[in-house]
Amino acid sequence: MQARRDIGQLGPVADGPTPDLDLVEYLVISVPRLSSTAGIASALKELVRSAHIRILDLVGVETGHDGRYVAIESEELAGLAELDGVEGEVGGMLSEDDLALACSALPPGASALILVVEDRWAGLLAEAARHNGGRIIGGERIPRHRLQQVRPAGTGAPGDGHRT
Amino acid sequence: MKRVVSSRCHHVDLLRRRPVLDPVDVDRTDWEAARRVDQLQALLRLVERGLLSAEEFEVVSSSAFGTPSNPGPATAAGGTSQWPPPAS
Repeated sequence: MQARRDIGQLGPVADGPTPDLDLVEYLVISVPRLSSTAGIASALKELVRSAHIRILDLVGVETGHDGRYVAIESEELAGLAELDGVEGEVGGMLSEDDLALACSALPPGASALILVVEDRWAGLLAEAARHNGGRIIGGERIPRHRLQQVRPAGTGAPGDGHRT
Repeated sequence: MKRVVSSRCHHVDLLRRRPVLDPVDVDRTDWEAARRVDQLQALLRLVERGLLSAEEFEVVSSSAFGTPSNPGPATAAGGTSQWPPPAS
């Protein structure tokens, strides 16, 4: 078995530069079922190709009605087959406890992808912050319903991201 | 993508807290059906052990799960639910 890596010692990914440790986040993407992830795989492939993100870990999960969950590695998911050969790593970041914690927030019967990414699109900002003696030190996704409360529809509210 | 570690057992935990997720629509049809099968099997075991008569089994199972013409109360309309439940 390969040696475990520490988060502070991330090495090169697929011969690329070392990930910027100020720009790593995780995402939980709900899907109707893990077999219906082909579109997400295409989007991830394009985002990696265009250097917007770097995939540092990816796993599928399903929650059961008995409080248990099943983790399915990305290479075992047919819906993610398009990611074969895409630059990135899997397996080296999320622990079993991380998966259990994330799954505890999902309802019974849910399916989701849990993704750890480096937000390479923000690299210029992180670099500028450091150049000026600062750093990106935090951030959090704002829940959708809060945004809808703050800026109701018809008042210039942010869209739901759906393209027509 | 390249698999760097075969097991997630000894990783340093990255998540510091339970994520706060938006409500998720879940198709509960499959696991509701599985739950019904589990419950029916439990009732059948009671019949096999002589703790429940066939007539009692019919009464209990039809009242709990309904008949094909009366699907019963277990599944929400459309087979979906939302988690967390919407605030009333």
